[in-house]
Amino acid sequence: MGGNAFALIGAALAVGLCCTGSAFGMLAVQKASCGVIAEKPEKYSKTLVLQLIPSSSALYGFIVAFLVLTKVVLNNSAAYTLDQGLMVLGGCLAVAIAGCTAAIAQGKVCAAATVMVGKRDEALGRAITMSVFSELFALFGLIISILCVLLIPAGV
Amino acid sequence: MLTKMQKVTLVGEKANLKKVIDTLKATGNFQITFYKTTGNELPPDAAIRKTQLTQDLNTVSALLNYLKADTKPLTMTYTALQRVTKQQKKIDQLITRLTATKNTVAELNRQMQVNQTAIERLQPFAELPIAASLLHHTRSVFVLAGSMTARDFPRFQNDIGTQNFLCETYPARHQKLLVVLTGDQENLPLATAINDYGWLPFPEHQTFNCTPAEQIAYLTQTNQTLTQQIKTLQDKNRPTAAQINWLKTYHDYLLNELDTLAILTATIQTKTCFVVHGWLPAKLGTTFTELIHKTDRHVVVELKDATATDNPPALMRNTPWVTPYQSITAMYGLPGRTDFDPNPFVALFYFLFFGMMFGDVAYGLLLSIITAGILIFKRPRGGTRQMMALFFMGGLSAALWGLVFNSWFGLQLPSFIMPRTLINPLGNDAILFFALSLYLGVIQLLSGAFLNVINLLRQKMWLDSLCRGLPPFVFFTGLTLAFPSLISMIITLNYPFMAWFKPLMLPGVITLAVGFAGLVLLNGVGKKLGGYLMGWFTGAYKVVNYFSDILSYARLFGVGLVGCVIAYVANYLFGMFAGLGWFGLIIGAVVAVIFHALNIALGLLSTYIHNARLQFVEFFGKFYAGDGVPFTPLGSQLRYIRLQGNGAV
Repeated sequence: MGGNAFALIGAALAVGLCCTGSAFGMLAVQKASCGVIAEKPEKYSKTLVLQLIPSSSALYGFIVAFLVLTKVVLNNSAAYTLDQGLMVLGGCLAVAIAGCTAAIAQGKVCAAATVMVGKRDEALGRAITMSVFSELFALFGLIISILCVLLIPAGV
Repeated sequence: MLTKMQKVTLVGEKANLKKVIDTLKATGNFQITFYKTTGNELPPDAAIRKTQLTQDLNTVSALLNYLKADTKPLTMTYTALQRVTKQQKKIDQLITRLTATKNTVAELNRQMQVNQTAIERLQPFAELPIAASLLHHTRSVFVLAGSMTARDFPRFQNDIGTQNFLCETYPARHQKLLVVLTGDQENLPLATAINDYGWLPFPEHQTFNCTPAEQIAYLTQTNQTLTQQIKTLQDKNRPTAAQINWLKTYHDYLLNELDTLAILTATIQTKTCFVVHGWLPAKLGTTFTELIHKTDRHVVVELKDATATDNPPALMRNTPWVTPYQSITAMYGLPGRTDFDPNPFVALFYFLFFGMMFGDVAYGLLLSIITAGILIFKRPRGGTRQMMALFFMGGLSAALWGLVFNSWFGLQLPSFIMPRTLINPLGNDAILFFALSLYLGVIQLLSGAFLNVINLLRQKMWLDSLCRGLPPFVFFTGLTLAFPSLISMIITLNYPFMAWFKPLMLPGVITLAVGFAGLVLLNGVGKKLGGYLMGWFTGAYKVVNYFSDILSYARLFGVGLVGCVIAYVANYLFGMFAGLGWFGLIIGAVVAVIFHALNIALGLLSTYIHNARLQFVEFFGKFYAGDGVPFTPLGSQLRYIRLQGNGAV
């Protein structure tokens, strides 16, 4: 297998794992939201914001995957060597793992925050701020992945 | 712009309190401050009245829900609202009639539901040719009726054997058998053992003297009759539009009366006097005083500006271009006593980022046209109106960014129409788009830091503005100047305009370094030595937070790109199907329309939420607390009535 194949595997892992984490994160929030909205339908728009917060990791995985695709597809004449492809794969794992776990954690925080907002309307701002702390770790993974993808040269 | 509020204190004779409160409600601009006091419980007759009002309100509210009355407000004066009691007799008769109808309809619906449940339970046994009244145990004989799959029956026969009882089977739908077992009472344990064979028992306690099929037909006929009865009853007792308006007005009258009772108990009162505190927009002070004195010239009215420790309610008034963005700010929190109105800045950045994430000329124009149509023809109110206006402007922004991306339903115009595509996000300019997203984030963060300095100076917090406000501003200023050159050291940006930023790099880096030094060295100023040294670490850690904030703006690139990719896929699928002839053309068009519609819907939701999130976390986090309380003047809790100023403010 050439280096491009490993790079694409990395891209797939980045977007796949991050989307999986985001899906599980959103699942937790949406379950909590259903409970809140059943009691207080007027809180729907506030819970909507919290529901979409865990989707940030999916975006980060998508960005990394797209950057890899850009390099592999646009720069096909200078394909990754095997070592380079493995390095890109390793770089992609940073956002894949960090993004996946951060999204699941963020979903749990947002689920609890949804319950909080259901009881106290004015707490939305604090709820959003608290839910963003775990996203910091996904961002660390994103930084490393982007640096790896952009700095590892393709070709000899 | 935040409306300046003044604290109002009214002192007057207790006997005139209700008249004064009615006047305050009529103004529509006075928010009362509630005080919980002891010794001011409702006297017995008022407590009884409160109970009666609550009961009546619940009745009317239930009726309006039952009639599915719309909440489009009726406009009237406060005096007209109070005069609804002149129609009391007609309203009471209407309520009695409608309540009786509602209860009868509910009972008929309940009967229908019971019948429907019985039909569903009997349905699996429709083919059984035995009357239900025969399927009961007697003193010496047990009868077991039910259904089993045709596959399980031989196994049942094999395991249990049927030598101890009579077994009749009748074929039924879905490979089932209807089975009736009769035998001695000593075979009763069979009723439990048979459950292992997928046994569905015949419903218990059925006493009808006909077959299940006949009973199902009878119940179905009964339900049709009941449906007809309900329709006749509803048609006969349907209220007119005028009568529904009576109910709405009466509903809000009751709400208003309960509110007045609550206010009466929650204001400060002595034996002869009352004291009412509240808030009023400052510019209305003079007119307000005149109005109060028209009601009772002995009332003392004191107007004072808010002090530093007060938390006046927030009332935002902005131009029509900024007003829709108030809903975004309100989602986070209204301006508190240390805040100013951030809406003009939110409007600018929200508008800019919306278009970037939704960027397509055709999508944007479609969105703007649809929302403009809703605003003009449907005339929505309140939150819906603000949202439509928000999306209208978002559509304009998307159209402008679509011109930058040269994107029309995901397609690019040919070069003889559009000679230059400024940024091609799906092509060679993806990295540029990414870098631009981050750079716009840096600019917004710089704005946030600047607003923080202004806010601290506004509050005369000189030390904080110098030590904790200025360094981040200097840091972000340096970053803004140096960012393009710094990022091009990491990622290749071979564009001619990058040369414009090169001279800014050195001053930018120097400013950045000065800002960083300030963040570290000045963060702990004003604290003891230990706190000051700890401030170095927290100041340095802030830089880590700033970089994560900047990277968060990568979502502008991500969400924008997702939209581009889905549009590309839609057009690709159309092209793929279109190559198959005229039939493929139709299929391709349908598929493309579905994908584009999905793209618009998902894009709109993602853009709305992620954009709001950027404002809340990255932007507001720099300068805005958002711990304000909304301005809720007396009379604003009404659901169906909108009060006109009764010749007042």
